[in-house]
Amino acid sequence: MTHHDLEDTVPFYAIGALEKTERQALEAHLLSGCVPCRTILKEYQSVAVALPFELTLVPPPRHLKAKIMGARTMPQSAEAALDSPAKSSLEPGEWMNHLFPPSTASTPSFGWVLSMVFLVVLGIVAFLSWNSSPQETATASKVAELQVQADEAHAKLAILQQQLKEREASLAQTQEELQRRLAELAEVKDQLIQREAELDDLKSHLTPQRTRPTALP
Amino acid sequence: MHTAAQHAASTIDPKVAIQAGKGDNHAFTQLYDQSSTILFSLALRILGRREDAADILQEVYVDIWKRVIRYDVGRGTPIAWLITLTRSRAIDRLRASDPQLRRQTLPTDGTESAVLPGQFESPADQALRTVISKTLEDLPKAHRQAIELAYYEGLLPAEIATRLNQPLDAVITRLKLGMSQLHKSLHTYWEQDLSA
Repeated sequence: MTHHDLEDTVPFYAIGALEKTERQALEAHLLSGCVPCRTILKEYQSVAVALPFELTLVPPPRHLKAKIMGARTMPQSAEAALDSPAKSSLEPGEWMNHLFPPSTASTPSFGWVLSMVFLVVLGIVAFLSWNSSPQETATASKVAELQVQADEAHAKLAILQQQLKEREASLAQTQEELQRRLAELAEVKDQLIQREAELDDLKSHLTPQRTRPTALP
Repeated sequence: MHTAAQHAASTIDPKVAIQAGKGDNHAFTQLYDQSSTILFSLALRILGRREDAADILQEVYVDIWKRVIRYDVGRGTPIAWLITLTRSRAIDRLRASDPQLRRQTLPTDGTESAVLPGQFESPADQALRTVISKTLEDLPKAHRQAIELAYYEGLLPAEIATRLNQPLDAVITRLKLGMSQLHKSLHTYWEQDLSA
């Protein structure tokens, strides 16, 4: 097709009335850098989008605005059920991407997002496990050490309890011995008092017998 | 306070369309308020059922909000971008629908709740309406019919020829002449508007 032939198809392209082969041929021509055709296309596209202004205006249902505002915050899963085909067959062809910067946002796919979330969670878990393992090990060794110390203290306490019992028994024996000695001492004291009394009696008997034999004129 | 110019679909500020795609709630609301009536009228003209037209609008606006599609100043005015998106999706849905049902629902059933010309319409939109309507009225009926079948039903020239039982060459000529006449009228209008 010549440039003139292709130029003639521009108005049809603008209102979406071109067969696939003709559409592809014109897109290739536009991609080749034909400025006149690009200019004409821009003008005819402006004509095409002006056509709806002659329509009788019908306002959308009153609830539609609230529905759309609400649908903006719907989760991905619920939204997927409402989704239509991602790209319309009548939207501008790929050649438009070469003329203008890409207008479609680079929205990450769900799988990509899921992968990223998984990696982040995995990283957090790895960090926590790496960070918490030495602490847990140190705590376990400390507990074991304390357990050993407690066992040792318990054994020492048992020995001390045994020694205390032995001392108590020894003290009881000493008390008994002391009481027995005190009793013997008291008995000896009583015997001593009795002997002292007998001695005093003998002294009193001896003194009158020595003064009676000598009389004077 | 909003002025009439702020409500005109034909004069949506490109910044509003850009900000709406960046999650600006105020801009998104403004974009909806300025464009929803013309887009709904277009979708209804194509699909013939209010529910289907509302679905198309919801898809378009939600996709804008979620950045599935994004406005770029290099692609023309915001309303041109929105009309292209809405028409494309509505035509796709029309093609996927049951042909029997399509026949029953067309033409539009929304005339009873239609807004009268000029009612709530901005002066800028009214001026554009006047130019387009006048040009289409001046066209021969066959030319106008061919353009409407191509634009609102997504039919190719051969399909239009079959539908109207007319020779293909005649349909192609009518389409070409009709579009050329519209181009001339609008070109003159835009030049006058620019100089004013």
